[in-house]
Amino acid sequence: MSADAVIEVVGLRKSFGSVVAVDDLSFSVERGSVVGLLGANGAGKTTTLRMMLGLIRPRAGSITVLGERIAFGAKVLARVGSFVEGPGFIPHVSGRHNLELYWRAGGRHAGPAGVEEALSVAGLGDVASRPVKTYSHGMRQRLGFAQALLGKPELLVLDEPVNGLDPQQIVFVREALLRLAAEGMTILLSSHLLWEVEQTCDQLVVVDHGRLVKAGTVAEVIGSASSAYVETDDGDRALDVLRHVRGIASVAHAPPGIVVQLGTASRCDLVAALVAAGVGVETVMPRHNLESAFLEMVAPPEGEELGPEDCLGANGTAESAAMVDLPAPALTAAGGAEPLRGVGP
Amino acid sequence: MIAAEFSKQLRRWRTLVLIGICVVVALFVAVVMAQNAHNHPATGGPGGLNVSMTSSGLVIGVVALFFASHLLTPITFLVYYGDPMSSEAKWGSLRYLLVRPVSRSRVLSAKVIVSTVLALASLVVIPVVASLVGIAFFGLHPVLSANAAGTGAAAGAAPVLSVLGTVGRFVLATGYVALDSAALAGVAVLLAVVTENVLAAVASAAGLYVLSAILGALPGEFVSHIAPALPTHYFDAWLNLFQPGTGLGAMTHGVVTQLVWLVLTLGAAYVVFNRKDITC
Repeated sequence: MSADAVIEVVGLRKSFGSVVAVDDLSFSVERGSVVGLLGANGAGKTTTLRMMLGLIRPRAGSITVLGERIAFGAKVLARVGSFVEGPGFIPHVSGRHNLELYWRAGGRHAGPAGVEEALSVAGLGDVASRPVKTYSHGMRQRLGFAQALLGKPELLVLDEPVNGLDPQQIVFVREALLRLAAEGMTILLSSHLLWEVEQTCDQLVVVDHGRLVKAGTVAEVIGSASSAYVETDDGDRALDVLRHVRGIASVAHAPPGIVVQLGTASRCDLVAALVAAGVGVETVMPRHNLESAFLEMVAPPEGEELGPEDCLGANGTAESAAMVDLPAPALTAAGGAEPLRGVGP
Repeated sequence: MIAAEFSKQLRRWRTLVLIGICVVVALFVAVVMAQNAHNHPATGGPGGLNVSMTSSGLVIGVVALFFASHLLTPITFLVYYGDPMSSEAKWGSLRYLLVRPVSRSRVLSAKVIVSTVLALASLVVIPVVASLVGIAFFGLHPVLSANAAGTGAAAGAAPVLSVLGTVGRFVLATGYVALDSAALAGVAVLLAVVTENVLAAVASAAGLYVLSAILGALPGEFVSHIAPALPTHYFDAWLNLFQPGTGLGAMTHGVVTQLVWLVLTLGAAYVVFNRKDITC
């Protein structure tokens, strides 16, 4: 285990009956990083997190967190904040008292819990005295987030923290996570909201059918197949110019614009070429993103196509979700065969 | 941990409702039985209890305990013991409790202890409330046998039980009734841990209670062999405490049987919970 590794997962395996949920999974999380654990539904993300939190026992392999091997009730879990498979609160008790009970259940005094601070970070100060059963889904979700922050943990393990939240709440949680990351907290974030992950995480671990598919920085995982979307005042002329720019892999019409597979060229290169050729550039934006990289890496479950619920956009159903409805070849931007219809910047 | 558990349980309506039901039932039984005894002083107690109903208000408490011990107390205990663990699972708070981290044995122990205290509190109010009503009707006197006080057949009868003796036996009887119900409640705890479902835990344990009662009432050689091991077989053995001259052998057997049930079921619950994958 490297000195900076906060989480070290080695050869992890777990099956439920004949179903293998996690299969020889290994990865590590460095201190201070924000790591996204990605995978479609049933990929083994939550099972992995549950093993990490000592809730279920792996069949093989090990997980070491902050230097201590995880088992049921491992003491090191006191230094970990968690949010797994949704919030879990006593419905007839207020939000504030729920947090206090949760903290005291560990046999601790309420002082260092920082209940008010956690409520404030989660934006629940005003409603904290109301019974949880009166909370909306989003408020419960944020209370779960506040619970994970109690006692200022060194490691935050979050499983789908923004699931079901409205766009404002998603932004709120994202900003809170970025603040915590800036303060040095290590965060492991499991999600299938790829756009969120892309904005929040600096490292990614992609799993599929319980196995590791890829791990690395966001740039490494997205790979070199980045593309750009361009709109100009003369589409045909732009197409012609861009076909001759060195380093550009392919160019295709995507009315009203053009999709350019960048290859070794950069967006600056293609803007420079267009301007030099006297073509007016109206819009240039990065095109290839985590979604398409993810869909290239992850095979749909047998007999299923990945649907929007497996790979949603920023607000769960926004335009970026539309891309997953496209047939697989159309998604392969690197192939350059078809433009990516309906994909936002 | 225990304080936190108390805080959770005391804020639940079901806790207050159960205690309230016990008080109401105790009041109802006490008033009805006291009135009946007042109108028919020769009548003995239920369950073959050979004491005068009118000789002391404490007898009304004994009668209320008898009626409650057959249905109300077992159901109350099953709810108190079967509900907390499965409710935590249903709310999703169990996983957060365990990642606190708290040892699983400690979580289960806290719930069992708090359930025991609340169940005992609900049980104790029954004889206490009924006795108070009884004392209001008949005063606080030594208990006489039904023959001595009612029919006069046993001339010059001395008190069967002093006031202090009756109170002491009351405490023992209440403890015995609690153990009766706790043996079944152990089954509820085990089922709650296994199923993580309140209804499955409480209803299945109640089903076992009914099955045990039916089996115990059936004739036949086979049944007579297994009956002593049934949790309901010695349910009424505590009545012997109020019938001087009756041996306490049945009660002793009852205590042993219930303890065996309790230890086996609670032990199994601890083993299962400590090995279980928490997926709720």
